[in-house]
Amino acid sequence: MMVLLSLLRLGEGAYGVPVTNEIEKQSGRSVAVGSVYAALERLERKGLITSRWGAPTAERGGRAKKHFSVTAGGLKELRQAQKTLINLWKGLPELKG
Amino acid sequence: MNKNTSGEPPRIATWFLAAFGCSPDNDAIAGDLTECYRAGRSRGWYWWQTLVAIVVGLSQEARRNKLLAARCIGVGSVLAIVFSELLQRVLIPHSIITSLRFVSPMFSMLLIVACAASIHLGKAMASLHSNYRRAFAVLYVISFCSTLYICWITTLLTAAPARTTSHVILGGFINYLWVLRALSGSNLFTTRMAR
Repeated sequence: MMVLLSLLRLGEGAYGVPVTNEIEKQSGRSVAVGSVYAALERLERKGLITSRWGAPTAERGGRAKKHFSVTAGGLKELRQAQKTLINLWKGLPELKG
Repeated sequence: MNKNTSGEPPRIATWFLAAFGCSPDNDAIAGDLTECYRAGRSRGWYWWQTLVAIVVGLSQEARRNKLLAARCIGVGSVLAIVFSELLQRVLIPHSIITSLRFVSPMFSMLLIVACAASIHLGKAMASLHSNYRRAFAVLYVISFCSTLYICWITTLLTAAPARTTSHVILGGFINYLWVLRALSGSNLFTTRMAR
């Protein structure tokens, strides 16, 4: 869900580096680039995101970027998850400690 | 840690990722790591990310093809045990084996021969799994080397030939432990390195 939300926040053309940075910024923890790609690959396999290859650039040692974007199915899944979380939080006593 | 804002990322780490990285997005990962390194990340960060990417890619492929992974580990372990047995029973007398020390040239030579043999066998194994060539060759070589190493260490530590069933069971057990550990879910937050 964190990866999906990061993709939404970044908008069109998001790729590995900004997604990793966004998760690190929002969570305050270090994130492995390889783990982000593993999550992205799982999401793509489920049809929640799509990807396309960009052009190779010199700053990346001549390697291309892989851009990701959320599909309609991904948005539906996110809305469902949001609803579930809101319902789960409802009626809980205030967290202490 | 040394910061490097313009130079090339560590060559050996880049080679490791190109040679052992099993993720379908290996090229994109390598590009991202290079971009981050040139943006000021440290050499330690680059190395750590490379190793994590290799492990995550490997476990991802193994999880996707559990049966093939189990077969590779099984074959690797069995071949290592057979190789170790052959070495200790036929090729080298037990008295010489037990007199070896970890730092002796003989022990080092045996390790090099074993690693070279395992890489060649790994290539043969990989040709059987052409769709997942790299992942299963790496998995096989790791399981071969680790089982062989465990067999020999046990022999040297206990000063007894590694022909007892307990050695074999121990070797196999430790081998499967690390595989289980590797396959037990991937976590986004796997690095604690300085940025």
